[in-house]
Amino acid sequence: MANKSAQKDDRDKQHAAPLAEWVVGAIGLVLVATAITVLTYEAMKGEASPPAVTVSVLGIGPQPGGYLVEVRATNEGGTTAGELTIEGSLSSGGREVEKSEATIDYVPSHSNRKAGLFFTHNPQDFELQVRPSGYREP
Amino acid sequence: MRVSVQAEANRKFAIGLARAFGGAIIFALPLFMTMEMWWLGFHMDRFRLALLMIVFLPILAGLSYFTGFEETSRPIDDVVDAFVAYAVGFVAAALILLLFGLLEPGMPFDEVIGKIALQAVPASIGAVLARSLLGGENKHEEDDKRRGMGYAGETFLMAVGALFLAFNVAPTEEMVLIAYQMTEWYVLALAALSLLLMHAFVFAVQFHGQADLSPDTPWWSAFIRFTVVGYAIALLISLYVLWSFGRTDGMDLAHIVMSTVVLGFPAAIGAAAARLIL
Repeated sequence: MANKSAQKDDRDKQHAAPLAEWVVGAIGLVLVATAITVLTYEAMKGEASPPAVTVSVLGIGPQPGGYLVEVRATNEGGTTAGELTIEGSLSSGGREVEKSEATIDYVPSHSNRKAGLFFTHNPQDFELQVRPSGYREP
Repeated sequence: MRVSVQAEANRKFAIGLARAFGGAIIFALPLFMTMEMWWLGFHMDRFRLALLMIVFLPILAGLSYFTGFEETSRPIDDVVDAFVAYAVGFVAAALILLLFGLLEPGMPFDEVIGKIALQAVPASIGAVLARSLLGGENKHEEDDKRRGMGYAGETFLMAVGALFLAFNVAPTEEMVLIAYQMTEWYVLALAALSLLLMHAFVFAVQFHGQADLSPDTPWWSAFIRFTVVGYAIALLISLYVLWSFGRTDGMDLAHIVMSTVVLGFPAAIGAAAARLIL
């Protein structure tokens, strides 16, 4: 009987988690706790303001067969904008010359995504306007 | 002498850890490469994502108890194992997402955490399962544990199998899309097929010699105790996973039930197969 319990003791010692396991386990605990804290904080903030998207022009450059206007859409709202459409137009003296459109899959809250608009006319010779035209809830 | 025992234990743990990484990547790779998973990482309800991570802790600990990548003797070791699995899951998910160019500088912290945390969940299951599927020592002891796990343990394994397969397909748009394309009759037929396949698996397990079913058990006994219970678990888990991913939001009851049955099909097969594979 005593022998058996000693054997069990020995087994327990052998099977006890090594130090390295506790260290990695602690790392896991910290990661999980951090993730849960961040997520819960975001959930508690209850920020459900609709997407607030602004589009800015990053650069204009020539392309084979036309011109490219690189744009960045920034969503300052509290929810994600899905399938965000960006519309760009070239006009001269109030008359629209050319229109172009791009769609971005998702722009998460407080994030930005880049896109490009192609034109055949040189945007530098016209009045260039870019704006978000619509989105759907993800 | 003591030091060498400790060093040997650490060496064994390092091998287990490497195996866990392998398991995490094998099991979560399809999801690492699913775009809906990346998107869910930032637009999924934050509370539901946090809840998902908490729900998985006891599941990982339980799975570690039955199959784990470290032989465990005390309950606390299973809890440590669960956190080790999460650590592996987090690191594997972060590494792969980074390589895929899905984590970029300038991204909000919340988006990065959400993307990694969501992928870490299935990866951590892979980390725990690595030992039982990628080989390991002490097979005999594991068999002993399995035989002694009883009905509760069998049900738990079914739930894990259902959860794993449901989790793998639920993020995609197709789950809801399939339900839209089916009529009620098709859905009923799918439910019947799910039950039939599950029952076939129950018999397969019986031949496998694992279940505590004797050859003279009437068929309806096994049907009610394993098949029906397993299918009920599969449906409940499907509903939970769909809700977690926001797939039930704004849907009427009929479509929620239909989507649940559609997702319940892979979940049922996962539940049934888990008892055979794990």
